[in-house]
Amino acid sequence: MDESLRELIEKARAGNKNAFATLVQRFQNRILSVAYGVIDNQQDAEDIAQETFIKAYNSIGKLNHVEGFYKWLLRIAVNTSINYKKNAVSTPKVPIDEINKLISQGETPEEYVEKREGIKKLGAVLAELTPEYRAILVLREIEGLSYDEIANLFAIPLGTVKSRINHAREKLRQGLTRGEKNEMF
Amino acid sequence: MKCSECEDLIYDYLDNELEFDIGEQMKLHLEECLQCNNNFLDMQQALATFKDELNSVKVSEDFTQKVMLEINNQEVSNFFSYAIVGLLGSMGLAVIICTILLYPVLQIVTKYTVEFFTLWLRMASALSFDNVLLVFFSIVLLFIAMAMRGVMHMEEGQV
Repeated sequence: MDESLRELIEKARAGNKNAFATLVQRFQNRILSVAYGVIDNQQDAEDIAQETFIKAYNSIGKLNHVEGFYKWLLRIAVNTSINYKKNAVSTPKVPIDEINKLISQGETPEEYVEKREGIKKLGAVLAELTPEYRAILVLREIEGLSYDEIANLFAIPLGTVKSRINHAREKLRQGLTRGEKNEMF
Repeated sequence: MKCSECEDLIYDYLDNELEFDIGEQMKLHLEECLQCNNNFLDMQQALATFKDELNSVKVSEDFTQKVMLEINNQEVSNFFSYAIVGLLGSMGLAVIICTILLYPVLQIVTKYTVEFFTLWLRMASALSFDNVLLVFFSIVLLFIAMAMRGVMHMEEGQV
């Protein structure tokens, strides 16, 4: 951990809001990606990212080790996302591909269509996985956490982590390649 | 290496977690077997797509401002909540004190209640935690025994 980050976390723990705002800026997109991996759309993911940082601000005083700040933040984001996903079954949601219409910029129409198709397929694959499986897949593939770290984060056995990751990867492979092969005919 | 073995080890190979010898065998098999190689490439492609899509999302421009604004709003809201609770609590306490001052009998009751709890707290603090539990459970058992005795007497009387 670099010294400037350590200093920011220490200041935020002491109640310095400017330091916390800098931390938010530093980690906001990474937390958004994690939430986006668990939830189906970007709008909800942004709400979750916001909730994650508010929860972090309210409990940063309880953080024991400055070094563990990001893992701690990840745990809050993952738990918030999973709970949100479980509670949001009855509420209407904007599909993963609809929201991305809004953020598409600086692309050719072909690239844009291709991107939307990719997102649509990914959304369909992710919909087949439970939030827990998605969260584990995101932590492994996007955050690059080791199996041990994920097992500690979720308090589950190492074997369970491995089997869940491999199951999620297999679903991903089947879903994305199935889509591509179907397009050929 | 057989295709079934390759299939079993493909994720460990992807994570670079295989022992060197087995990794080399996998590498050789993937070079020789078109189907396994295609599966492996599909897997790599699927994961790359997944990573690209998730990493492509960015928060809105005013995200940090929104978070900090929400934190400020919550702090203001919490302050008013505590202020209202404090005010209501103080008013309630004032009403109780006035009532006690108005009725001498309540002053006597308050005095003995305070003395009782002071004595009880002194006794409890003199005991270790285990002993407090022991006393507590003894009282509970005594209460149950007395209740049962009462029930038995009642039954005898009824008979």
